Amino acid sequence: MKKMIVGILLGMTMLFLALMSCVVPVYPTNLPTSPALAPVLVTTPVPLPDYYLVLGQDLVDPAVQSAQATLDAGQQIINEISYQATLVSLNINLAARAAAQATLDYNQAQLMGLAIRGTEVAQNMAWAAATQEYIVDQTEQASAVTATAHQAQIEQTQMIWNATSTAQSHAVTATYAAYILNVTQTAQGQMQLDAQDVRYAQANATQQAYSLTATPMAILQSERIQAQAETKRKSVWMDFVVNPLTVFLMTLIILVIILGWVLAYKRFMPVFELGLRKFVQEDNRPVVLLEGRIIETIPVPAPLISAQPEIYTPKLASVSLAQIEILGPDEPSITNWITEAEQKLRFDGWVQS
Amino acid sequence: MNIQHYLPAARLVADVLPDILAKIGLKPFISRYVLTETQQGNAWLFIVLEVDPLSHLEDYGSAEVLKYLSTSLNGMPVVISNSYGMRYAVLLSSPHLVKMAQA
Repeated sequence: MKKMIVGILLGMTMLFLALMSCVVPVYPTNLPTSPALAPVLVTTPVPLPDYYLVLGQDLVDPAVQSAQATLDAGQQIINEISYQATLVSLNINLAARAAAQATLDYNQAQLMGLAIRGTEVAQNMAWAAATQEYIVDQTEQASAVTATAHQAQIEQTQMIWNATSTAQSHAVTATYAAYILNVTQTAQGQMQLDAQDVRYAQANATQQAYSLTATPMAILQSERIQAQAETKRKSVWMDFVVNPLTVFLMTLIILVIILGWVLAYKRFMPVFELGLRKFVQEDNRPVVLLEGRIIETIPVPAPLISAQPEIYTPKLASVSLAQIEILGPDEPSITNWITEAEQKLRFDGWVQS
Repeated sequence: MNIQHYLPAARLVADVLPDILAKIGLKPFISRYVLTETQQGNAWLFIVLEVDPLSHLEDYGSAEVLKYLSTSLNGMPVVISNSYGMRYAVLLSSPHLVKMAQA
């Protein structure tokens, strides 16, 4: 009983040590003596912003913080410059649009002037026609004497009128051509402004895309996103694979250790018990105490099965020391013994005649 | 038949069997002897063994050992019974029991 209690206590102790070795983390016994590492071990942890919490504690370095501050300041300056450039570009665009509008207004005013001039020319032509009709009427009413003179005068007047009309028509045509040219140039300027707008939009989009992909902030954001994804992936891996597998393996190891103890106990306890039963007599003969009887364990000679067996005959006047129990065949154990013996007997070829 | 009739033969077997086992190199770890008689008149003597755990158990039940024991006991049938323990069963007397020829 004491052996069993001692065995249970030893087993519980080993189990407790095994569990403690599984649970308690192992710290290095020889801490680094480097002065660069010593402050890290003794300083109190400072709460970190979310950004560094996401990226991990490896970035909590003054140099990294300074670099990050520099990057943040530079990014702000870049943003401000970009904003100013955008404003200037917009102003230029607005000015160009204003200039085009002014050109259009000028052309419109010039067109109005040309229209007025055309009206005046038309009035002059109407006046000239009325004058011509008046002259013709006067001429018809005049005498035939002056018909030739009048006819010459009429022809002269007609020539003058024709020349005037031609000149005015040329002037109007030239003015209209100039107007058309001006309008064409304005349209070309408007197209150039539109193309400039397109280029500006493309440059702005390119700048925004560059700011999203190639700036230090974009790089840091990308790294942060990657770190978040990796942290999430590691968390899922730890929660659903590593931790359950660790618990399962620990449990399996503990069960294997317990099973090993049980098997070792069952295997070696009889040996230990037999060792306790053996002792040496005074004449150096080893004996075994078994079932209340002392049995000598002196090695016997080699088996003599090959030798001819000796038939033992009853010895007269001998006193038997063996105690023979007489039991009835109805007892369950005796019944089983008899049944098994008879089966073996029949198996060996013995039959009832 | 009265079981006491087989008691002398049982005592004889109990006396000589340890010596026979010792002669063939087997330790006679015998714990008890049980004598019984069936309804058919077969008288059985069971020699219960407490064999050393380090010994080879198959040595005690080999055919050569059983044949040697049977011959040493003047032809008495001897079988080994090893369910729920190991024991020899010696048929002391059996009417009309014959041994069939081995094939």
